Amino acid sequence: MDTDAADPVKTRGLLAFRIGDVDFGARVEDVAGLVEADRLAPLPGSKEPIAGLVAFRGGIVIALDLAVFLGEPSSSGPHRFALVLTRGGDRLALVIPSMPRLVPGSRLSGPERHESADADANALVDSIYDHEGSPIHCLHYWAALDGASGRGAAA
Amino acid sequence: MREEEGVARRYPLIPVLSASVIVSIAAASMFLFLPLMLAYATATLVSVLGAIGVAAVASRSARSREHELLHHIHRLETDKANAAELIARAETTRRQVEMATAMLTEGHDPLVESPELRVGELHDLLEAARTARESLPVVNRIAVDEEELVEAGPDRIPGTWPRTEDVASDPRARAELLRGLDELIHGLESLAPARMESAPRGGDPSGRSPTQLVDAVVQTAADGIEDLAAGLMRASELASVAERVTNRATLLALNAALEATRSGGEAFGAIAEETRQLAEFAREATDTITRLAGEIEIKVGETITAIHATSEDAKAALAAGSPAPRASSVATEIQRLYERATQLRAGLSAGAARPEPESPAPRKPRDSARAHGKG
Repeated sequence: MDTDAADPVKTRGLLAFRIGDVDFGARVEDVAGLVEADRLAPLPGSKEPIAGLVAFRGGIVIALDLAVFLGEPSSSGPHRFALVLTRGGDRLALVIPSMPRLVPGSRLSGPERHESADADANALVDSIYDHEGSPIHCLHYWAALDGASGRGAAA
Repeated sequence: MREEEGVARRYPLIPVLSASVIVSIAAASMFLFLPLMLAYATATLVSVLGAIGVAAVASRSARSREHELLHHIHRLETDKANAAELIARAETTRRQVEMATAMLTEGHDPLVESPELRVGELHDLLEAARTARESLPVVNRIAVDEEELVEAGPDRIPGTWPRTEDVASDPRARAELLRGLDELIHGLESLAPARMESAPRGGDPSGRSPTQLVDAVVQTAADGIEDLAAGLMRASELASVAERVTNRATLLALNAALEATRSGGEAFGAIAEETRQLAEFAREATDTITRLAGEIEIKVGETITAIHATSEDAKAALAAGSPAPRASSVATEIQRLYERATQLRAGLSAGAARPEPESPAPRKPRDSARAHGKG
């Protein structure tokens, strides 16, 4: 959580994807890789937005359906992907509905810290990068996992 | 041995005498058998020469027969080639007649619409038929004139047509008219069966009804198109597989680019860029295939629907008794023309069989002629 609370950092690039009408992104420094997520192993006792488990480089990673987490329809298309984030030795997969695109850091401006009157939004959005006039939102993904786990546990 | 030597010493001429006797016998034998041997040799020589002569004659005869046989074979081959050519020509003519019949049944004019039918004997036949069809008003005029002649008497006969009294009195005019009518009837007979049999009631040489024909044609077309649709389905499946491959390539490119971005290595970046371009190319190809397959699938679906709709329309039209209005009217026209010509021919033949009258007696008007003439 300390990392999430730190000042926005420059990045070498973003993996950008769209959910609903909003562009989101993950810094390449935080991404371990990208895999297909056509088949996810269900995780017993889990609730949404936990989508299940995904295999990644010989290990299993818990997968979070980001669309469901953000209140959008579930990413249940024919081709969905899992963006595997890494933090130290931990890994977290974000299930996204489409193939992300790589935006080099040289084409990004920012980042800026997201500040609004909505405290929940402030807690969720880590920073905002600008790419050719369009904002790309980087979230506190690990916090989302903590929140989802908490919700799941509470349920 | 001693005894023998003693005899030889005692009679020394005995061996000489013995040898002389043997030589004499041999000489006598030679003189006795020599003529026989000569005769035998001569006979053998004559036999051999005769055999050689017979063989030579036989060989010459065989060569002659062989030559004759080859000539026959050549003629047979020529005949065979001619027959094949005749069969081919007959087949072409048959095909043209079938095409013409089919076009006439559908109400089209084959001479105008099918260039292939402009050649061959069929052209003449159909040209005669067309002339006959165009001469329908003329025949009608004959009927009307005849009717007028009967009603108004011989004084009001139009000048352009042979007066009935002339026909009745002049054998040459009668023969001329009869010959013309014969040609007309012959032409109509050649043409009429196809039209009269096929157009109003429909059907083909195999005895199928128009509904069955329409069904068969539509079924064949639909089967072919459905096969095509099945092929397109398989193409769509292939496109789906290609899309998966493209996705994998794109994933690979993105992962390579991620590693390159994180490590900052130039070589890794180059590989990532190449992989990205490959993935982009594969994606474009897959999109094109998918789009084309989709478009063709839509068009095939529309065509199948249209064919089925046409089939239903045709069946409904046939059930309602109006298979091909134009063909039906042409067939009726030909039928009417044929009947009128036959009636005229019969009337004139009857007139010719009668003894020549003193004056032309008015004939009773035929009902059909009156009906067609007035109609």
